[in-house]
Amino acid sequence: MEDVISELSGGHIDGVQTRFPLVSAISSVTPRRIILSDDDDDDDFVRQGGRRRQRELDRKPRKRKFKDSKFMNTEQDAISGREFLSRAKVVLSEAMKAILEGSEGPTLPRSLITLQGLSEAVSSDKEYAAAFYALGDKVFNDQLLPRFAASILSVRGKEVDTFVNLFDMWNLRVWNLKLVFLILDNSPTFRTTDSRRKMEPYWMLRFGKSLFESAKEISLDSAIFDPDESKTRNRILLNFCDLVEEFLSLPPLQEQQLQAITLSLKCFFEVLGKLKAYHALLGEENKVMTPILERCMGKVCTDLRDRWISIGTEKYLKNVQVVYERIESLRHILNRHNEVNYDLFIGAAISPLLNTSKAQVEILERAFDEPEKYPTELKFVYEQYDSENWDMDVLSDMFSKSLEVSLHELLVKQIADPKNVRGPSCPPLIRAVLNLWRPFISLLKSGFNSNREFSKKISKASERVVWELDNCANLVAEALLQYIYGLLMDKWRGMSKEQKVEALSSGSTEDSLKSILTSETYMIFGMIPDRKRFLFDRYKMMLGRRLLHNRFIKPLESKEDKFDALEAEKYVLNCLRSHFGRDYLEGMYGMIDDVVESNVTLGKFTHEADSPIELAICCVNEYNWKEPPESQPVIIPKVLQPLAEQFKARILMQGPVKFDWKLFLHRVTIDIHFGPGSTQAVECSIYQAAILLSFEDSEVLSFEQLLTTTGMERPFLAAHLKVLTRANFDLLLTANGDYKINSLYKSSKRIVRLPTHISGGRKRREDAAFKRTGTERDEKEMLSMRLQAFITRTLKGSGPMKHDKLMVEVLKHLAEESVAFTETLRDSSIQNHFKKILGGLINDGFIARHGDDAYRYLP
Amino acid sequence: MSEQMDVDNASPSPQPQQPNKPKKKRFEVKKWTAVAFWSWDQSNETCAICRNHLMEPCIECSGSGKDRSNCPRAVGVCNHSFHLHCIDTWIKTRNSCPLDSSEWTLKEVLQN
Repeated sequence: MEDVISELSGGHIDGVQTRFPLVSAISSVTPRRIILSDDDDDDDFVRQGGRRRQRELDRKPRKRKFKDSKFMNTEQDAISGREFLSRAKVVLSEAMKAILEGSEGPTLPRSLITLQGLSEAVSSDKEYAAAFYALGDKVFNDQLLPRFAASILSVRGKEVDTFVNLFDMWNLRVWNLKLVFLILDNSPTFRTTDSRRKMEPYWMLRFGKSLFESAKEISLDSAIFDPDESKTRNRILLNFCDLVEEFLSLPPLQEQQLQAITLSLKCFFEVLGKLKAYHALLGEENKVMTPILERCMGKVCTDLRDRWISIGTEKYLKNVQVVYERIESLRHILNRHNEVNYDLFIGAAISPLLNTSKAQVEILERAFDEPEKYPTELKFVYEQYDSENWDMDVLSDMFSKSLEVSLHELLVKQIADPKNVRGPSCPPLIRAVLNLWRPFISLLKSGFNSNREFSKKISKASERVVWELDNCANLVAEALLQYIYGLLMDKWRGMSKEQKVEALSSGSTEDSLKSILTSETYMIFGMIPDRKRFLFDRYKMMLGRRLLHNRFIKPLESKEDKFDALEAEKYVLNCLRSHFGRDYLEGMYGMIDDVVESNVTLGKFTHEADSPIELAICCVNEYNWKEPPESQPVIIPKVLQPLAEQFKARILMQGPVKFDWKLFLHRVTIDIHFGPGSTQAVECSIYQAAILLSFEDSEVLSFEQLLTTTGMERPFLAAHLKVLTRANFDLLLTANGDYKINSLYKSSKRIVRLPTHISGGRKRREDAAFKRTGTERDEKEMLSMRLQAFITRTLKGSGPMKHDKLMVEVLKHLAEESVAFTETLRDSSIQNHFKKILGGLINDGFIARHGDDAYRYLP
Repeated sequence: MSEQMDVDNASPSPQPQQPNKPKKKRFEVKKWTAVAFWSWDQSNETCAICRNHLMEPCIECSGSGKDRSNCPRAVGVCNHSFHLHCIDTWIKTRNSCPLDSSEWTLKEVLQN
C-alpha cells in the first residue's frame, strides 16, 4: 500500500516538509526581484525579453502589463513580448503537468522564482486560463485517474484507507500547484471560466467526483452498488460498510483493531466532510452522496440486526451495553455528518431484545441508565414497538423513576439557597426545573402525548419529590408565582397607555397568560398537588408583601407611577382570574382597593398633620389580608407617638372599629449625627428605631435601661442589640453590659439598611399557615359544592327543568366563572360528575325528579 | 434728722444670661412607613341569618355575583350585625334580633 502511494507521489510522501520552502520562498521574495535575480540560471529567455523591459519593470513593477502601449514602445518590443508570453505559457504548462504528476521543489522544470514571475506575466490571459485547466483535466483523466483507480481496486479490504491516502496525496499536489501558481489562482481572469473556479476546490472535486462521488442523476442512484457506477465507488462503499459492521460486531473487537477501524472511519468521514466543503465553496450541493450513504447505513443496520438476532437474546443481552457504547462512540466519531442516521443503529441494537418483557426492562436499564438523557432513543422505541411488544408501564415507570432522582438532586441543590427562589425575571430554581423538564416535555409531546398514564406517572413522581423535601412546595410555589408575575409584569410594561386602559377595562386579558405559559410551566404546576388553592394562598401572601411595601403606600395624588404600579397588580390579577377562575383570587382585589383607599386617607392625614416626617402609613381592612407574623411588643418612639395617636384617632372616628398597628412591618428612616460633619441615614425596623432613639437623651444605656425604654422582650432586644453591635453594622458599641452610640461610625452608603427580619425566639407563623391540613377542602369537593348550590338555586328560581337544559346552564355557569373543571376532575367527565351531584341532591331531599327527564326544587 | 442716705444697695447685677442654644439633635426621623389593620368592632363576625361572613356579600348577593360593596351590613342597638338584605327579609316576619330576640332597632348601616 505504502509503495503504491510512494510511487504515485513520485517518491515524496511527506508533503508537509516539502511545503515549507515553497511558502517561505513566496513570502520572502517579491515578484519583481524574482525576475531580476542574477543567480537564476533558468531565466535566460527572460533576459531576451529586453533590457529595456527590465528597466521599465524596475520603475513600475506592479502595474505593468504586456498590452500596455507605454510598455511596448517599439514593434521590436511587441514581438519580443509576444514571444516571451508564448514561451512562458509553455514553461508554465510543463510545470503544471509536472506538479500534478508529483514533482515538487527541485524536480520542477524551472525554479519557483521563475515560475512565479511567468505566472504574473500571463495572469490576465483569458485564453491561457481555459487552456491551463483543459491541460490539467487531460493530464488527470489520461494519466492519473487510471493509476488511482488501479491502486484502489488492487487492494481488497483496504479500499477506504487507500482512498483516504490518495486523497491526502492529491491534496498535497493541489496545494503545491496552488502555491506555485498563486498569482494565477488569485487572478480574476482564471476564475471566470466556470463557476468562480479556484484551483483547490476544482482539482479536489475532480478527484472526488471521478473516484467516489456519483455523477449520475439522483433517480439513478437507488442502488448503492450500482454495476453501472464507477467500480472504485462501489468498492469503497462496500469496504466502508464492512468497517462499520466490524466496529459494532460481537464478540467485541480487540482494542487495537478497534482503534485502527476508528481511525479509518474518522479519516474517511473527514474526507467526505472536505469534499462537502469544496462543493459548498463552488456553490454546489452534492445531492447524490447523501442518499447513497444513508442507504449504506440502512444496509449495515439491517445486517447487524440480523446478526445480533442470530446470536440469541440471552447472549446478546450480556453484550448489549458494549454495543450501546460502541454506537455512542460511532455517534461521536460521525458527529458532524448528518448522512448517518443514528436512530437506525439504536433500532438495530434494541430489536433483538424486544421479544420478552424481561428483556425490555433490561435493555432499558442497561442501555438507558438515565432515560431523560435519551429522548430520541426512547421515542424510537415507543414509535416502533408500542402497539405490539411494548409495555408502557415498564417504560413510564422507569422514566418517572429517573425523573424523580434527577429532580430530587436538583431541588435539594436549589432550595439550599433562598436566593434561587427570587429573581428579577426567572428565578434560578424555575430555570433549572424548566431545563430539566424540556427534554421530557418534547418527548411527551412528540412520542407519548396520547398516553395519559405516562404524564400522570411523571406528575406523581415530581409531586412526591416536592412533598418529601421540607418546605420545598412553598419554595417551588413562590418561585413559580414569581416567574409568572415577572412575565405578566414584563407584558404590562410593554403596553402603551391605551392598551393598559383596554386591558383593565375590557377583560381582554383572557389569553394573556395562555400565550406566555409554556407546557413546561404547566408541568411545574403539576409538582404542587391541590395546587391552585395552595398557590393562590401563597400569591395572596406575596401580593400582601408587595402592597405593604413602601412604593405602594403613598398618597394617591403624589405620583403617577405609584398608581400605575397598583394598576399593574390589578392587571396581573385579571390575567390570573381569567386563567384560573375567580374562586382563587377572593379578597385580592379587596387588598388593592384597601391600599387605594388607605392612600386617600393618608393623603388627608398628611395634609392635616403637617409633620416634617415623611409619612407612609397604610391602614387596611384585616379581613382581606393574610395575617402577618405576630408583632413583638415595643414602645413606639416618643418622636412618633403623637403621629401614631393622631392617625389612630382618625381611623377610630370612622365607626366602631378595632385598630392594630402591625409593628413587624414598620420601617423608620433616621438621620444619625455621629459627630461634627458625620451624618448617616439609616433605614431600620421600628424595634431598631426604638433602641437607637433611646440614645437621644443618654449617652450610655445599660441593657436593663434599654428594656425599660423600648418595652421589648428580653431575648428580642438581645437579638437586636447583637445585630447593632455586629462588625458590619456597628452603630452601637458595647462594654461591660452598657451600650453607647459609635461616634466613629462611617459608611460609604447613602442609606444603611439594617436587617429587619430578626427572630427573637418566637416562631413565625408565616410558613405554618401553608402546611396542608386535613380539614381543607380539595378542589373537587369545592366544585361539587359549587354545582350543588347552583343547581338548587337554578331549579328554585326557574321551576322544573329538563336534564339537558340544566346541564347547559351548569356549563354556562362554569364558563362564566372560569372554572377549569377538566383539570379538577381529571379522570371523570363533567357529565358523570353532574349525574352524581343530581343523585346526591335527590337523596338529600333538595330536589326531586319531575317526569322522565326533568328535575324540580323541593321546598 | 439723719438723712438716711440712700444707699444704693447695689443688688448683684444679674449675670447676663447666655441664651440656651438648642443642642443639635443626634437623631432626626426622616420617614416612617407604618402598617395597621382595622376591623369592625362587633360581637359577631358572621351573619346569623345567612351564615356568610359579614365581610362577604350575603348569600343572595353572592349567588347573583354581586360584590361586597353592594351588600352593606346593618348594626342594631344590641350591637349585633347582619347583612342589611338578610335582616330586611327577617324583620318582615318578626321584628326582633335573631341573636338575642330583643326588639330590633337599627343603629347604623356600614358599607363594607
